[in-house]
Amino acid sequence: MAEKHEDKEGVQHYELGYHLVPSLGEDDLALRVEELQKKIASLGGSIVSEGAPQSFSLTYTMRKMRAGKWEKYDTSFFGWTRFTLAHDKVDELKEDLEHNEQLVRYLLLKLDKTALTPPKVRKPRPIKLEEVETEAKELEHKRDEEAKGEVSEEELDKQIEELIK
Amino acid sequence: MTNKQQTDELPQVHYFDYKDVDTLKRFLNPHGRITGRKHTKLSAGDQRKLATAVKNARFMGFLPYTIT
Repeated sequence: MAEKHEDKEGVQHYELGYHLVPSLGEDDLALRVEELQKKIASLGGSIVSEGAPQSFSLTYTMRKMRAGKWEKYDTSFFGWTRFTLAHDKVDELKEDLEHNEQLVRYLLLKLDKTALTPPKVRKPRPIKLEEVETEAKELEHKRDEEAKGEVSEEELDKQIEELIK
Repeated sequence: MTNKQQTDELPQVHYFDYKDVDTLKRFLNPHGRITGRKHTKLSAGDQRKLATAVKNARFMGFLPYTIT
């Protein structure tokens, strides 16, 4: 189950995503969003962040019953808002959203702790002194080997002769 | 035995947001179904959160229910 992120006074973080009908004009859009915000404010909630409604093409046709007829929607204006609200006021907000004629569909989510906290960034692992020392030793060892590897031609000839004998 | 076909690593997700379609799509198969834990390599809790996010995304028209 999702963890509840609830304050002492019973205030909970919520996210409301909504699809507004595509027939709305720009002025109407702003007005409808303002209405939603006012409703949340009137219930004692405060808006934390929001995404302005933008034209959105739905992946499937949605239907909604209006005045005894199914109305079909292929596009909509999708917007979202995150807010805090007392949990006993949510039902009131839901009822208002249910009766909102301008909404095609909405989703009200209770936000858990992970949604509210930024992702943890891992600190780079500190390099231990021991590792640095061992690396330095390895380098020295390599250099010594390389130095030893340089043998003059005369010495080589002597060694070959000794082997033949 | 490791599955050699699974070469693409899936992203590490802090919070599965239903609006983040690009991330969610990486956890779906070509038919639009949620892939199992064997493929996602998520913990049981995170797999449940992924499933909820995908279902919310479908409800809100971000993802299709079926891809034919």
